[in-house]
Amino acid sequence: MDLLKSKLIEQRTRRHFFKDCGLGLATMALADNLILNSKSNEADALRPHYPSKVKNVIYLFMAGAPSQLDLFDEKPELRKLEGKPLPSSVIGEQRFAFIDPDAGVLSPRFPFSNHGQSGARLSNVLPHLSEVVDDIAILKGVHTDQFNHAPAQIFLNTGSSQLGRPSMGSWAVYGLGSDSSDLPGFVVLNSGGGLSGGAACWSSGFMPSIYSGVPFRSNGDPILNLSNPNGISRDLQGKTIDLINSLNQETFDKFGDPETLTRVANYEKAFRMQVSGPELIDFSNEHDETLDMYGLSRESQSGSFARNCLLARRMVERGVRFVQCYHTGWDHHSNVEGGLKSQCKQTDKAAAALIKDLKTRGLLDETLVVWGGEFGRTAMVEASAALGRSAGRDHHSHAFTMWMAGGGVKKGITVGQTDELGYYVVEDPVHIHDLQATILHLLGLDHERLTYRFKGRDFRLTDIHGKLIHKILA
Amino acid sequence: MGSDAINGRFSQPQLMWSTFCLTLVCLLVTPFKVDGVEFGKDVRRILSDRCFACHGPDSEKSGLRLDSRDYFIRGGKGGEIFNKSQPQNSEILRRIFSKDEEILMPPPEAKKPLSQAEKEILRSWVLSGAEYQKHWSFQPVIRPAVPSSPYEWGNNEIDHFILNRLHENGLKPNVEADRHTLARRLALDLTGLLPSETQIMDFVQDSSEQGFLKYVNELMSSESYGERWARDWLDLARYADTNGYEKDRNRTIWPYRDWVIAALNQNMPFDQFSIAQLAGDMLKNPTQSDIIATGFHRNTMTNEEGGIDVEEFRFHSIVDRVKTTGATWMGLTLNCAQCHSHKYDPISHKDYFKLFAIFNNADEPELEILNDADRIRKASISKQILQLKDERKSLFPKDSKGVSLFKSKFQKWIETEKEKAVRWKIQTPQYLHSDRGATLTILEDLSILASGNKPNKDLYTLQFSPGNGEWTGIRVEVMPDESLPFGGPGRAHFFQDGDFFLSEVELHKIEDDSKSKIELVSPTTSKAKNGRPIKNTLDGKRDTGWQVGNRTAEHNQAVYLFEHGLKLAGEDVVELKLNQHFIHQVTLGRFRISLTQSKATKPIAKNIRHEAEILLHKLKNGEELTDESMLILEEQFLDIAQETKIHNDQIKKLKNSLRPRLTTLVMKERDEKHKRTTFIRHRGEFLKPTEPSEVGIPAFLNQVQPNKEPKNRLEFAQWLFHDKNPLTARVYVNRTWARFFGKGIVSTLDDLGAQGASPTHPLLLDWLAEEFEQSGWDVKRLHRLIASSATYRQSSERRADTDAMDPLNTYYHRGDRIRLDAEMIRDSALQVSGLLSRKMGGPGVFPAQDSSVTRLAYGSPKYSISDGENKYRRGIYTFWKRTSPYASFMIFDSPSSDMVCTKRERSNTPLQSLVLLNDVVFVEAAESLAGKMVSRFENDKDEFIRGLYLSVLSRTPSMSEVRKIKRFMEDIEVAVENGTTKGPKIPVHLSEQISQSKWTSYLSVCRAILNTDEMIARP
Repeated sequence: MDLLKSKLIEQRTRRHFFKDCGLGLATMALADNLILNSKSNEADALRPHYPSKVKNVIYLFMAGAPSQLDLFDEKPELRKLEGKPLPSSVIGEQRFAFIDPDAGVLSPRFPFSNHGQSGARLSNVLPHLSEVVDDIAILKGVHTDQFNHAPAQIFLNTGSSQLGRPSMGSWAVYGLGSDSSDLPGFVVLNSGGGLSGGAACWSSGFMPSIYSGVPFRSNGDPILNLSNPNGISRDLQGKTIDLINSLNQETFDKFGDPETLTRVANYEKAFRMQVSGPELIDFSNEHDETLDMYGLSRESQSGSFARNCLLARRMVERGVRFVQCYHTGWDHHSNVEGGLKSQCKQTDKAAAALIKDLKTRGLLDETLVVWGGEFGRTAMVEASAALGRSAGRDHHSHAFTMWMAGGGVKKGITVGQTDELGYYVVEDPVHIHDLQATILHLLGLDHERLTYRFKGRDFRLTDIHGKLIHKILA
Repeated sequence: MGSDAINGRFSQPQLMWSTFCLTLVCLLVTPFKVDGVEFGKDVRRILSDRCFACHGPDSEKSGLRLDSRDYFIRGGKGGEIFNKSQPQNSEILRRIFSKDEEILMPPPEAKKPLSQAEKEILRSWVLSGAEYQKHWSFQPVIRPAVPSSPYEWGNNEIDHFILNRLHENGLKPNVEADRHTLARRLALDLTGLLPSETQIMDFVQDSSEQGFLKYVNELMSSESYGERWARDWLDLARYADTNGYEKDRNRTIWPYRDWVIAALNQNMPFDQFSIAQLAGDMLKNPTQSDIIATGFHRNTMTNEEGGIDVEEFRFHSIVDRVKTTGATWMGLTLNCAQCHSHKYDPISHKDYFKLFAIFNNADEPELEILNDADRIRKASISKQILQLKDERKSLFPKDSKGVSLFKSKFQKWIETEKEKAVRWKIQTPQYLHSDRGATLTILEDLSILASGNKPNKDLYTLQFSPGNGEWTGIRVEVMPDESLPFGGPGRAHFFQDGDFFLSEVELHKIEDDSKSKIELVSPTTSKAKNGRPIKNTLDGKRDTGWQVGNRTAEHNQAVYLFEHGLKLAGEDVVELKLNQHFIHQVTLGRFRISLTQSKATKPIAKNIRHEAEILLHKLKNGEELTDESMLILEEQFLDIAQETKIHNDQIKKLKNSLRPRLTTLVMKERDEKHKRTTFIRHRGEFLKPTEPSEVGIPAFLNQVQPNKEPKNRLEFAQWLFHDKNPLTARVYVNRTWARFFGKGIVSTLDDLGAQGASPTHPLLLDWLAEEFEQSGWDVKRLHRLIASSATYRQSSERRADTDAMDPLNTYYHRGDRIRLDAEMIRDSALQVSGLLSRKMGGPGVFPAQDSSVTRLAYGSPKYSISDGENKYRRGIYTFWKRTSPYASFMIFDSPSSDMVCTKRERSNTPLQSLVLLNDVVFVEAAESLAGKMVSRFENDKDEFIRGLYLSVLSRTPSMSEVRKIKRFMEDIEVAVENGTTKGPKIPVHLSEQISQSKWTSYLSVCRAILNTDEMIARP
């Protein structure tokens, strides 16, 4: 009996990574009741706390921090103040990364105009997003605690600027498992360059590594070690795995260790992944129109944001729970205008295409798409002769803009407002922990109940904070 | 499975344990449970959560505190709150249960109401006498009597404790594992490697107890022992080869890693081992090794993003040090008290900052590591430099009569320069201040040296009294110093090596209540980097400045004139501000300030040092110079003469080669004068300093040495090993136990506090702790003791009957299979394939992995695989890059080294299967293994299988295994021969010897064996 119990636990643990294949939910629940105490880490997991609005999340992380003032948060006052310092009543004793508190104002770099039924005002450097504004909710009052890249990225991804905490994707997979039978539940895509926060951004922290994000590579095998060694055919690989598992069975018969059975199952899954991985990145069955919409051609360069957006859609179709899609290059300390033009050219079309594509396929209702950086940028100009910088913007943590779209999220609304300088949030502030609470909520998870016990304490993604952003919940 | 999942299931043993205590050892340990309510677990949390904010260590409203029984009994200004004789009539209960909002506690406005359940907990606690029990781990360790065992089982005392508990639970121990299994288990546990075939044969043949001990001792005296146990310790030390955040640049701290390996191999007693790591720099006459050991706490991460406040990240590193110290030596989650008083353990917010203060008084330099060869090399270079200097005169051409032109040229130089010479008066600052807390020290030559805090931006303020007269100009000399990166004169250790960035220079005369600005004009300098001219320091812009360029290690100077002169009386004070406004820690390292009254001769900056200019000025005034002084001038001339350039360049090169070749990160305690004041931070936030903190330890631990609270790192480290310290020995033996059994006696290895798990075998834990401490903290003895117990030697085969009674093996009714650590998995595959290098120590190496792994890290750095044997070194030597760690190790749960790790997770995932099947390291290992096997057993499949099993799995195969493998080989060979399967390429050296079909089958079997669950689990 106990062996059975142990097997059940193991089966269940594996389901965090892959969809459970062998056991029905009822059996699982039974196993829970039989085996697990209420305080155990597994107990609350794998069951939504309430009905999920979405099954999957695609997080378009704009690393480096895009300027909200030039893309979303139009502030005519800044045009009037161009070149003049902000009043010291606004600045107070604040610290900045590079600039001095008396730096002059830099006016918005682009004109804005109204779009869609909702009349959302967007900068004209986002022509494609403007086509889907009626499908998204814009949050203009986001603020964070950190103003350096690495800590802020880690904070946004894990709820703490200190390292060692599980990331959002880890929590999602810990809470819900995965619906994919042969792909990881939490995948990391990357374009534009390396990330300041590094592997801590998709780490499982103190949770087992099974909950870690699995980085997909832009060239060659999508997952590390996915292809067979040179000269080993699929047939030979399969036969070898059969032998491995048959020998493992002997080991299990001798020791009775359930880990061995898990190992057997994992070899079978690894073998399946070797097919499903390449199939995932093979776009040959995508229509030309679809590729066009994302701005991709058949020969498109790999590793682009556009390719990752399409990959993300293919992943959620296959049940991947959380796709973390990093795009770097938004850190415009100098020439914010030129920088934004180039970044928007790389991302605007594809991000909008993702929304359209998901919508056409009926997937938008069960997917949450989030777009945003780790903080915002200052109203003041950054210029430094020594650093060779001019007409840039520094890091700003007090107010920035993000957008969300998908199941459970109101469409075509804007929530939150900043003061006339775009400096502070004056209406409907959204702290990073609020954002995280809301993402979990849409997945059907209560951020206050989704806990993991470590070092004698029940940890949460949102620490001891976080309120739902009710105004955007449909 | 996470440790905590197991953790939750200890309620049963806990109950038994309390009963056990009550009945058997009530003299030793007081029972914790009060009507089922436990103070540490249940009551303290409520008091801490709801009451302490007003009635606790941080506040004392109405004179009432609830954080100790004495205070509780004393009551507050309003009188007693606890009625001893009639507890049911206690004021505290009236307050808690009151319906009257005026009386109710906590008051409604506090918005922290007690739930009904919490009220009941408090009621039952008060009714039972309101005892503030001390948690078990905070009570002194008293050596328990070893239970006598009427049963014929066991090798040492450990087994008596274990057997006793087994019997109480109706269980029996398992049989001893067979000799093959034990050979493998011991080798992996003690050395992290597999036993050789000879070792196995010897051990199997000599089945005596002596044979067992001989084998254990042989393993423990091999150098692999130190490597295996060092890996374990490095998890605690969060060892890594890079800085952590963003740029994640490389650092050199591997000498610390090698120190740990060597210390463990020498069996350094654990107290000495620990004290050196926590405070080696503070020992009397510390050796180089003692100082290297302080690298333990230099493994914290550092952020080198441009826009950071360096001090903020230094603050975070101290937070990390406190946390790591708590987990490693004290078994306490001290970090909880960073933001608020600990809810479960009696550690107040103030206590936390007392400990923080202990760790907050060190500077963080690099230590140059010198061995004898280095010293010889340096001496020889210094000699060469002297020789070159001596030769410089001979470089001057001769005139037609064959007389060297040196003298005439020197004389001519003197004549020219003395006219320009100015008398400079060096200023001694009476006030010296760094805005960002750098330590500014005045050296003997009156220059000022910066050390300690190393901010990105800084403002140095100096005040001095030049004296009576009319002053005309000021000079800033920037000077090299050995303590500075690349020899200075700046403090930049990366990107702008050795340079500084001086944004603005301002001079003021201090009047009674005000300052009057002294206008500086006509700046000159002896050297400026392109685009960083000296005039930038007067342009009023902080984003422009003066720099001299990278890696100079030279004397240079800037001179400013006073536009309107500066008339001063004797006592007048002037103030100089040196504003440095840049990123990446580019501040001034060593500099000196002088003023002049020269009028006739215009002061300008020159490439002549102060000491020479003074002499030139004397000559100008017609003074005679001594021979010694003339030598100084000669030296100066030779340093800058055109004719000596080749030698001078050569000398500069040689001087550069004297700079440290090898350094390691260490700690250096600050002296009394530069002691840091620690501030208590509201909610633990860096930006919210409140009042200055005391220095010391949490009050509840002060029992150890009541009159001698540790006040610095060394005293703290020694205090940890005081014989009355209840924690250190327990924490260490518990963690060691977990290494041999896969779980601790207390399953929460880093938390023995009230929120930690209860010990499954409390008496055994205390016995081991006492045994360990009294042995003089002898680590190898402890390992030998555990490894030779019968408990450890049990077979890990499960038995259906007992497994049902003890499903988690809480009572050790059998052995446990434990999946190997990431490093061991790779090391053993390389070992059996003959590829493993046994070279020890040195810089981290880069084993093969796909180059895409580092692409996700900042700057997408290239991954260059090491050459030769460095590709095949033991895992402990793998270069650890924090933002993109070696991928296959991460997949097998290596900690990322961002923070202390007391226990690795042991996950079981398909990605692990992919590593073993397809990762280049394992593919290469399989091929090499197959090559070896083919050479030995080419013609006999049975022999091949037996040989393979012995060398790879340390045992003989079963009949059924042989059958399965043979059938597989036949299938493969047929498939290859008839073309349905294509085999992999045969290695060149075997291509003559073996057929494609045979190679395919041998290789495939080797791959399969390396992929088995058995291969990656300790049996």
